[in-house]
Amino acid sequence: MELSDSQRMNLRLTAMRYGARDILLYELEPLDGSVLPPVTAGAHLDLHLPDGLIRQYSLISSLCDAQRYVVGVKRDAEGRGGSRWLHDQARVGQMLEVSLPRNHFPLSSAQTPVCLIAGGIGITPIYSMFKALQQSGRAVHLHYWSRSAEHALFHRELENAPDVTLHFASASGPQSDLQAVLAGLPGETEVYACGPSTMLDQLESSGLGERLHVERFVSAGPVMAEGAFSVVLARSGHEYVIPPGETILNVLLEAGEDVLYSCEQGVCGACEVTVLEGEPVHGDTVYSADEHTRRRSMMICCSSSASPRLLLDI
Amino acid sequence: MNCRESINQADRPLEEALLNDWHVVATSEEVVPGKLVPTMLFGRELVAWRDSAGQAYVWEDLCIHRGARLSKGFIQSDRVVCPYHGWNYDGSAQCVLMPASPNETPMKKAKAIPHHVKEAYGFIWACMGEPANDIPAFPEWDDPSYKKVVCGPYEFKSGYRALENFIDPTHFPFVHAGVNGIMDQPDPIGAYDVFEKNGGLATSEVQVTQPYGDPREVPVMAYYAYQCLRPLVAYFKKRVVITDPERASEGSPDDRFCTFFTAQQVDETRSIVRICCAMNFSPQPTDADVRRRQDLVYAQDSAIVNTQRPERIPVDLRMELHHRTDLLGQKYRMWLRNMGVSYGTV
Ligand code: FES
Ligand code: FES
Ligand SMILES: [Fe+2]
Repeated sequence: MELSDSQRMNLRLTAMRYGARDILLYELEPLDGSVLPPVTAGAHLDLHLPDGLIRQYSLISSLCDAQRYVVGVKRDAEGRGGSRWLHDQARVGQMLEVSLPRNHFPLSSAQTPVCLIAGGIGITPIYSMFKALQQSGRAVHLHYWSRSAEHALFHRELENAPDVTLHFASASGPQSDLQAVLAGLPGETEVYACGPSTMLDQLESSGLGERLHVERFVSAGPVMAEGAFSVVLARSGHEYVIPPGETILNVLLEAGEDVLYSCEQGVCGACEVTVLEGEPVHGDTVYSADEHTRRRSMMICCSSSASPRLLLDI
Repeated sequence: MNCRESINQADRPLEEALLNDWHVVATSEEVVPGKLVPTMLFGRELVAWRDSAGQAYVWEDLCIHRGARLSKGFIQSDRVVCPYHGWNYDGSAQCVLMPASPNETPMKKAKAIPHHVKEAYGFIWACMGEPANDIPAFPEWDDPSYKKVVCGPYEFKSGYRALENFIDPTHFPFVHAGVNGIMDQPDPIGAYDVFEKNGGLATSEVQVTQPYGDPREVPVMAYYAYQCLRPLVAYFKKRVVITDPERASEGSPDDRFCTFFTAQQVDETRSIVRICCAMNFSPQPTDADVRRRQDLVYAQDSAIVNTQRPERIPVDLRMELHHRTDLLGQKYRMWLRNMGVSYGTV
């Protein structure tokens, strides 16, 4: 297959399969039977969705081959629209533009034992690693946290496997479980983890140092509202309509409001403002949605609104 | 209006956030009895000196008579003698002798221009306005389990940029490769929290790998908790955990290395950094060991920080590009901006 300059391919969505509650597996194939670039465990690709959304999904490398890429997607009702479109609108037979696979989360080639930690949909790169490690004969143990057996992807393959521990929502809570897992690790074990940011934050502060490798799902750009909403600046009373496809920051800057910003991409935190009323939809990677709720704040460069009106302390 | 007030109003007055704050103008060691030590703060020329009882003074470096520079004079019997016409000023800054008219009591207005002075943590602090706060706390100073070593002076262009560098762990692997970080394996800096504390800023712990993390020269995992105490004073308390299993027994979970950082903003684009390190692990390094290491690290820092442009730090966040890992530096700039700090900034 010829790759365009921008290294994108047009692939056909050839199957959507049930993976677990709210999780579907999507298979993508080239039209002309040409050979796809190989996929290593931990790799992801960009899916270009209609409406200009670009989303990253981890490839399930053990299910991928030269003819087919497979990604797992969880429907996130609170999310930024990509997973909702894939779950609710995508149809088998559709063409989708796809980037080349990239791997920012590769396994090391050391021979030390590996502990894999997955939370929720974070299982997709981790499962690929699990399969790859088993195949290479390296010692591995997988810990997988999910709400219930029904929510666990690959539950049937994993439930009786000797080197897998499944953790379902428990009374003691995932934090203490995770602590217990870490406490039992032999000193040279490498840890690879993917999951919700609270889990990854806890891992990062647990003193594993260089032995820890995590993948965070990063924001792929601003969350654009699907419909217009209005923003009211509490201090001046000024009111603005944010049309679909626009950011709050841009509208305010064009109106000459003095607001702070730097990266315009949700990674720096400069544009954080206090939300007095309304329900923001967060698109930044500085804080988790929970953290924003606690701080009563949002980043106006890249976040949108689930409510028709936001009252901001500006 | 007295002389001090009129000087404070001259040209472009210094904003209150800086004028009414305490600033380090010398280390205690630099100001020995019998010596006049010229120094400069926010472009104002000052003179520091100490009387035979040990009391330190910081005055405008200016004789009220004809404006000669007092620091060019000398000290005699705990009096500062002006080099021009020999007027004598005592510790209360009052002129007590005009040699051209030796029997006359000098006029009440014949007074040098004194500033508020405090001596703490091995530094001499001055406030040129009316102190709005006390000097910031340095708890380890009074804790005898900590060894304290004052280091510096180190020259930097911008004191704010120097402070921002002090609170920035992401430069370690590059600027201090092999000492405070590893260039081939820079630590990814995890999300950390910045919160307000006693009117300043503080962070949760930030984890970094340090191949020679403290004066014991052992590889450590270091956990920095930073604080911005004042516009030109910062602090960190670093928890150190020895990572070399063979030497782990040398450490204890209570091991800490703290640094109290001060910058004297000499003028808009020159500053002097002085620090006090405090550490509680054993064996305690010698003063010379601590200084050798700090001299190296701060020389590495100033070599880079002094290339930063603009030399005056931008407090408007739009002027440089920030990243989540710079959250503290970014909040620092917002804090300066909200305080109305404009001297030495753009
Ligand atoms: S401008 Fe950087 S997060 Fe919004
Ligand atoms: S890399 Fe940050 S200033 Fe050069
Ligand atoms: Fe440094």
